[in-house]
Amino acid sequence: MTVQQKGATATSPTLEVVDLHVAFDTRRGRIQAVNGVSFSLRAGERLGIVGESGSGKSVTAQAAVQLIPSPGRITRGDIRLKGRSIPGLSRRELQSLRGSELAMIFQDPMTSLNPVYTVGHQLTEAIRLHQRIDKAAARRYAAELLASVHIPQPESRLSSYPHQFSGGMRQRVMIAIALANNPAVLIADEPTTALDVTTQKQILALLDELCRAHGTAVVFITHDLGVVAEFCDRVVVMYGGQVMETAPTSELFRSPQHPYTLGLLESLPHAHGEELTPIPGELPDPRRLPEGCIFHPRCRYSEARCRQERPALRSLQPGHEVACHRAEEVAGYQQQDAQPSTSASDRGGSKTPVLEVRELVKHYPLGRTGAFVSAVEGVSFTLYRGETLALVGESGSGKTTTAMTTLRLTDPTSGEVAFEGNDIFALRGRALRTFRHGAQVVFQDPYSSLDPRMNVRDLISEPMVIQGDGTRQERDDRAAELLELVGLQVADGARFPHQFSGGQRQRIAIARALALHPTLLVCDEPVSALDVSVQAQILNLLRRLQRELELSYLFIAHDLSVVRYIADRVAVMYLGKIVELGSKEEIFEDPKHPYTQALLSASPVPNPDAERDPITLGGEIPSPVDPPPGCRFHTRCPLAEEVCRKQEPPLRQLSDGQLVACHLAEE
Amino acid sequence: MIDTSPATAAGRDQSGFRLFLGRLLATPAGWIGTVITALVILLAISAPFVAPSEPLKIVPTDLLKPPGSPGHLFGADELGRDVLSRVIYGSRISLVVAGLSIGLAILTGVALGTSAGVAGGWWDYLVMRLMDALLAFPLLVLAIAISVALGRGVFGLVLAIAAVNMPVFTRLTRAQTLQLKERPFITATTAMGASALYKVWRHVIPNLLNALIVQATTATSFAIIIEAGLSFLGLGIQAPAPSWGVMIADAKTYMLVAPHLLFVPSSALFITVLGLNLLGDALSDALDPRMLEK
Amino acid sequence: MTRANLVRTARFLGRRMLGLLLVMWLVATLVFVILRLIPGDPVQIISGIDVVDPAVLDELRAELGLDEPLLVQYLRWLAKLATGDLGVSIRSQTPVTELIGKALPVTLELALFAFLIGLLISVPAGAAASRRKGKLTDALITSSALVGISLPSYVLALVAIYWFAVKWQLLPSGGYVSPTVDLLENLRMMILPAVTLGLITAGTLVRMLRRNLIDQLGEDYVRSARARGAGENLVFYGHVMRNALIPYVTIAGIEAGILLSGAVITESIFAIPGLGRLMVTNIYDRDYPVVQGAVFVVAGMYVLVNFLVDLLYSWLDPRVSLS
Repeated sequence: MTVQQKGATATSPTLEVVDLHVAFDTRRGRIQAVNGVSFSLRAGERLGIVGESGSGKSVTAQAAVQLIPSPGRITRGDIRLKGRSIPGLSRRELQSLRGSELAMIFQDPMTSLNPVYTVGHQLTEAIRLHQRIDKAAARRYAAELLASVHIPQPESRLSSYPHQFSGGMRQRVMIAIALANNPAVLIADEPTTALDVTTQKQILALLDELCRAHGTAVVFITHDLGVVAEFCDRVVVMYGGQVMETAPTSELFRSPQHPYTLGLLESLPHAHGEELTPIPGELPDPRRLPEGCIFHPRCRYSEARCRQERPALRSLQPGHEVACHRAEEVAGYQQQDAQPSTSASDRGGSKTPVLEVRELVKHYPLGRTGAFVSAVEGVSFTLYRGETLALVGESGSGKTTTAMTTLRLTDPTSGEVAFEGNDIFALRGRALRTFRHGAQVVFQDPYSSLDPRMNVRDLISEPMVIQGDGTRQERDDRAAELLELVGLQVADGARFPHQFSGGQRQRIAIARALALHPTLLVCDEPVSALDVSVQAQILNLLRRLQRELELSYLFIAHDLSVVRYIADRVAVMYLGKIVELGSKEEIFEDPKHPYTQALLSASPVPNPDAERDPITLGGEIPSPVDPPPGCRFHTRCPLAEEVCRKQEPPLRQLSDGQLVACHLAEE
Repeated sequence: MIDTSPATAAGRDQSGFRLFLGRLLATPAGWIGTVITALVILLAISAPFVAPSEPLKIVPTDLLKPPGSPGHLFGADELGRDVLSRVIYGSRISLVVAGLSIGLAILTGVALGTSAGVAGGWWDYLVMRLMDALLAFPLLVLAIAISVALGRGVFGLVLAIAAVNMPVFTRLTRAQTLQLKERPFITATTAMGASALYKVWRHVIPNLLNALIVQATTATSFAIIIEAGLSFLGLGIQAPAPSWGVMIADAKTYMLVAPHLLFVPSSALFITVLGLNLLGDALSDALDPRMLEK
Repeated sequence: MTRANLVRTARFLGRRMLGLLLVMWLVATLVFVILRLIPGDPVQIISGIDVVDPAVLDELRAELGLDEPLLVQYLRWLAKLATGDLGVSIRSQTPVTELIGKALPVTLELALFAFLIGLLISVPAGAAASRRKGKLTDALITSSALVGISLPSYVLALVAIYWFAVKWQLLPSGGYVSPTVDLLENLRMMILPAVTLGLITAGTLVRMLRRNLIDQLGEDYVRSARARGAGENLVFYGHVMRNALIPYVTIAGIEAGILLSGAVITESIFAIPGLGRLMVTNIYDRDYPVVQGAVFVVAGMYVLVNFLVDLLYSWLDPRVSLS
């Protein structure tokens, strides 16, 4: 296979999907996962397929390599690679095609490598499946491949097992395997979703570098509009198994023609304070898709025709296709430039402290060896009444441990936490009861945070039952009141969690957390498991509740756009320490710490015209068992000097009130 | 909220039990197992009404009558007792002993397992090492020793079978408790101020039920095998009570002249155990949380 | 292996041995306690029903050390165990170690044959069933395995005796000859009991292996291997098999332990003088030292097999290190 051949037929598409239908026949009826999808990919092009859960984007990708999980099957349509129909290939032909001309990488790098074989074994296997070379040569080439994905000491790393690599490193290995035989097309299914932002940035840059070098065309499947804006030339927007809109990236973001695309863009959290505009309702049930236009139940443009007639894909302008009866009107709609609104200080957040955390330390011992995981190392902050303080950081930063300690869900190694002036670890009896009333929690995963065996009314009443508050009647009344408060119906109280969608379950979890009239709500990544359109609904709800009930939020998140929307103040954590703490404006407009700066530049921005920063952070987060001496960030810091390696920087206050733990930060 | 979600919910709203029953009976293994088990239980309950004669009635003229003889569909034994009647009554002994012993094993196992899982520390260590020790015994020898120690008879038998099954339930319960303890819905109750006992009673045990039901079905079939085995060795139910194990043991002597004495109770034992195993497999599929979304 | 690794491995092994000793001590205690609970006076039994002179009985009791307080008896039992002395049979006056020494090889032979049969059937059958999941082959194999686990060993043994020994007279119905005396006869006698036990073992193992293989076939790494062009044989034998064998080894180890602990009923039915039969007959006879000794040895072998399985496990699975 030479590059010449690949580029030879520039006009005809490299990969072509025509009217693809994929169905899963289950006991409880047929799921039409992909319903008439067509698109094409030119040589060297990067096509993004965006969609929320259930959009059929992953199944479409799996169909291209004929790896649809059972019982799914292609019921109609065709997929052609350089004119050859893939569904028509024999098993042998298919095997020689996979991995050589058409390669695929998957979302979860942790499970995509066989745990009992070395990385070298799996790389050489991939090479020798398609190239006739001996083992020694294959091993040499494997080492080159590892080097090409920037894995240090590639020769010796060949003998490592997958579990000895971090997630980011494993995804590099997966990329090395996928590109081992120089494929014409690479299909990447959410390849960075399981990774931290700074690692995501590195992986995207690596894919960019390698695909550019080899002229590889990429189909990039993701739910993240920011990543699409950053990486793709053209975008296909999918919803409920159908293509809603296809356009060049910048055009799609600038002038969307489909109400769904428009809705997605508007539900993205933005910097300005006012309410988000979520898409109302929930994602469609794949077993009972709506008649007519699949989006009409949630569409603000919906009219009689939309309920009856499925709109075909059509072009209003060349290269831009849309499946909407009223696309002209949507195209004419101008996205409003949001007005900057009230920030924390304007909202007059009182200066009554609710939660004071002083020098909090949490170590987890490792067996009886004396070694320990330094999860939190001297964290201090104060949360005031009615404000939202966000704890931001990547995995291993200690943000969740900090939050759990402030709820007394785990005991600290040392340090103090005071809630409304009382040391929570000294509380007993009545005082402890008051604390439990005052501080509640909402978790990330709405699926596991509700006991599946209790109905919603019992779930919401549970805190009152445990605390012995009220009579049964009073508790039921309160539960009904709470259901309405979070936007559910009283009748929903009799149903069970599995009958609700993720967003609705998160509403139930919030209602439960509010049952005891708390003043503090600890929100641990409350929207990160939700789809974008639903995420906006929950963020709006949280904001409204804060305003109405004068709640204080300790908000744990890794997604900076969410933080920017909801927080008043932000604490950035790295390896168990707060490296910077300031108002939202200070952190986002004028970050002082190099880690904050790197984190900001690594976060994908859903605007293809935005200026892209080069990668500022190399390497990976060091192990919290053996954290670096001096400044914990110095191993990755582009500015590190001698003093950073030796001496630990204190969290010091700059003249404008911002706190920074960096020797080099200047006013 | 927009209409789709309540509609979705209504679709799934049929009671969980009916859904579960549908999944259970969806495969041949599932319904065969259910039917066999139900039939055996029914026979045991209605034994006095369905058995053609008294299980202990000796008819000297009918010694070793082959199957199909008048009045003896499955023949008669060496004392002229009706084999069919004895087999039907035998199901009572099997089910009662197995049911009691597994019930006891579950009670003690759940108590030990949840307490070990919740308390941790030295109690956990002690309980688990004790289970290791119990499991290290040759199972039948342990059952024999306990059964002999407590006197041959139903009481000793039940305790013995409960003792050999208890470790499995303890381990299962403890493992599940440890897993459940970390689930956010239980952590959330800590934030509400719930006590350990509340968490175990209200959240851990209800969520254990599925795993317990599956394990209990398999354990019951196992208990039936041990009961008949001990009785076979003369260490459990004593003749002339119509235990399947006793009948099989007695049949050894007459194997050549009256093989039906071996085959009839053996088949009853085999079919009962098979039914329970089929049911156990089907239950474990039907209650598998991974299957719930399918 | 580096020095640090060696130290860690040694420490790991040391800790495991300590746990092993603790379990063995619990076993020894349980054996002692349970046997003392058994009603009936062993002295009375061995001296015959007609001896009623209490003086004679007391003398015998003193001779056997049964007149001492239970705690003394218990400590003596532990002390002797530590030196490898299992006492002397009350009935035959032979050292228990000697009785066990005779029975152990018999049980070992039977267990080995049965285990081999179990392995040789379960691996190919499990592989075939999982690769043809939902097809006829799978249905046949899974239902045979289900029959295997649903047949009590005594039923299978008696049915086998009925057809092969009584009806067709192809094989002996029981007994045992040492292979050093008559190898051919030894094998002929072993066929029925070994196959009986082997089939039942195979039933458990097939079900286990099939389930593991099917679970593994659904893993992400399988999809990745297919996506890079691996054929189904490579996927199955080159990727899935080793992963599925890891938990299989644990279960096979448990099965081996069970077989080693003496198939009590099977040995009784086939009149094989192994450990299982030794234990049962001496429970009838209330020969405490023999039962104590035999149970202790059997439990010890079981614990040891499990220990070896753990070692094998950590060797097979690179994620589990010996520390």
